[in-house]
Amino acid sequence: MSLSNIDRRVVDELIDTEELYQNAPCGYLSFLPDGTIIKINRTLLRWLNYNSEEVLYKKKFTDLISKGAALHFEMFFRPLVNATGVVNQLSYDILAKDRSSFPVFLSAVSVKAEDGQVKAVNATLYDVRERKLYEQELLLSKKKADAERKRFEVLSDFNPEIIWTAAADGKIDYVNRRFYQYFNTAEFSLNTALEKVCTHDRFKLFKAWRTGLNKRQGFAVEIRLKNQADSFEWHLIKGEVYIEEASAPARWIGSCTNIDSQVKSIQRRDEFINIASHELKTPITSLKAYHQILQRIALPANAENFLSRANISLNSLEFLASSLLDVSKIDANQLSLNPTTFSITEALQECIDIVSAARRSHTIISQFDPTLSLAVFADRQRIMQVVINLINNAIKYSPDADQVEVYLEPNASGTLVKIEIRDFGVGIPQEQLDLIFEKYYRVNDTKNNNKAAGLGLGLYIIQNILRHHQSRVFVNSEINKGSSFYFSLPLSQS
Amino acid sequence: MRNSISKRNNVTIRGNGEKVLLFAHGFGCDQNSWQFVKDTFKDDYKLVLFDYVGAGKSDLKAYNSSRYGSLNGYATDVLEICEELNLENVVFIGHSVSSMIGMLAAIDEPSFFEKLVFVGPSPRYLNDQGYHGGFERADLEALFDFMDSNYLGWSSQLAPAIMGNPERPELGEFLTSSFCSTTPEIAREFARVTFFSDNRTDLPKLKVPSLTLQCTDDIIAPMSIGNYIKAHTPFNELYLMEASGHCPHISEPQETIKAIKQFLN
Repeated sequence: MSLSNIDRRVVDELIDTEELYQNAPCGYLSFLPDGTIIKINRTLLRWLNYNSEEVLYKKKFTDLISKGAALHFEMFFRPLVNATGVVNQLSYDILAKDRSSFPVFLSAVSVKAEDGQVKAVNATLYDVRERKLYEQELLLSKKKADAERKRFEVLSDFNPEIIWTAAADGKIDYVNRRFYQYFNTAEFSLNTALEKVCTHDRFKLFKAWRTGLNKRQGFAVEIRLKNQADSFEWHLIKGEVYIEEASAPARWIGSCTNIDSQVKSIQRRDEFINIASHELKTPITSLKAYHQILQRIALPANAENFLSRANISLNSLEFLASSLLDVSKIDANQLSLNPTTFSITEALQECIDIVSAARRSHTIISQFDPTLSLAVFADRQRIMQVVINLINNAIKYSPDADQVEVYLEPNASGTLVKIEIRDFGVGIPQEQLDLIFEKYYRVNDTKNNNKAAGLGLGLYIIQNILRHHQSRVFVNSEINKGSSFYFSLPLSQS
Repeated sequence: MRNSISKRNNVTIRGNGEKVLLFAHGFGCDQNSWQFVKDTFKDDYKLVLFDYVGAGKSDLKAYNSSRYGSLNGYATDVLEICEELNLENVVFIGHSVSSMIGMLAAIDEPSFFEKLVFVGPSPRYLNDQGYHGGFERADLEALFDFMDSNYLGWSSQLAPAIMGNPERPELGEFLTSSFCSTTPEIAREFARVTFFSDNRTDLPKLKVPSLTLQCTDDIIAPMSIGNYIKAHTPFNELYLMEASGHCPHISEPQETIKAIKQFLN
């Protein structure tokens, strides 16, 4: 069906322009250049609570607004509508008959005579009460957000560390004042900062940052930064992911802390331990030699007892010194292995014999067939050091038990052998399981008033010896039931 | 540095005559507001137009609150323009607040000026004992609020934030920017300086002849003020216009031109 088929009048009847004008959802108003109102629609009259006789030719547009707004009308609205013929979305408060007011957006166009003179102005008014409420809410939220931001900035400026935040893609979008002081710059530039990173540490930093970004995981990396005196100082860069809003992508917050004095003091400590452990070795060796000579000399009967005690002290002194030496080697990356092919069964048995001879408090039960022929390619002495250490620990942390079990078990495919030392002691709290392999970490002995025993180096050394064998030690533990430490070695093809 | 002032105040020079007409715009506007009036004079006069610092295309960086914290700062702008351009025997035509700015300049340096034209002047907008300025303080505060809601309400505070465009302050400019552009913060200060100024005691000091163009029904500068100025200012003429409102140079340019020409000759 086309338009021509329909009676034209039907279409015309559909739209009643007068009705549209009078009851439009917005107010319509026409006034003379001096403001005198000459036409107004019913909608606006209803909003104002006037009837048309009260308004037409009696009121001016400026009567419907406050005096301040009228000033504005004269200074801006009229010149504007004169000059350009159009006014867009001015925000006015319109006064109703009872002097209450409501906000409108007013747009207007001028009707001009042929000589360009303005004859009248047609204005459209939109009731924006609701919108104003939203605006107010938005403004409030914005103020709140600004205040929050301000608070964050004050807090982070107060911090002596450099604080930064970054968007999910890693683009740094804020640094605190400390950054500018530190890098002596007025503007943030990532390149300026990166140029200060020691060239040896750049890749490390980049890798940590990329890995963190990709995995969305916090990271910490120690790097050297050039200070204003052009020398390098150690810094710890940390980044953490945080979620600002449930729907928004995660953001980053991070810090950069000068840890130069800590790093330097750790370096000095390690250096001292390295020198001290080397220096201790010589007198211990000669003490042991003299001890052996004394044993061969006929001495009064009661001297034997003292000699034996001296031997125990000498051995533990030797053990402490060699532990320190091991740590020095590990730190200096100088732990070297002398791998050979040997029977792990025999080596294990030897360990059990050595510890059994020295420590009578526990029975060490070998839960394996001593005739098993299992050959591994490893540093025999170092593996024995590991096993003896684990058995000694097992005894030390199970004072109320009387036995320790040692297991040796090849896997089904015959490629690996698992060595396990199990005790029935106090166990290790779950939260400390990750920490016990750290250097100088000691499990608190609650029974002894938290008095820590030993140097806290045993497990650290063990873990590093095994790491050099491409293996590692694992632990299972249950409080008051006991712990089990185990590791695996590849079996040699024989 | 010869052009520094001209650049700062966006000075434009037109016309072929010797004698200088210096047009000074009113509050909230810029030199564009003279577009309906100026061309008539271009064959016989040298036309100099400018924007006050903070308005139009002036150098916003030159704005500082202490210099422009009183009308004297703006009067200094006018004098500096005259000085840089070596203007003499200037006819100064100022709209609204510029009338008083021109008057202050002419009191300071009468030698630069030959005549002054005041379009809708007022030496004081606030009512005072025995003086009808037309406004109470509350009325003016309402104007400032009104301006804030148009300058600084939705458009300038939120629009940039929502559109993510804080680098584009023009989004927050006053809605009339197509005609007159003013930076909101500066306009706000200029409004206070303008409407709280009181130059009544300066009127008698003016030695240069002046003309007041008084509109019918100007709520900003009512008839009583035209009369007040005439009574207190030496060599002042009062011209009553048929034009209504506060901007006859825009709404009734022909009548405005006629009145100015009559005064010039």
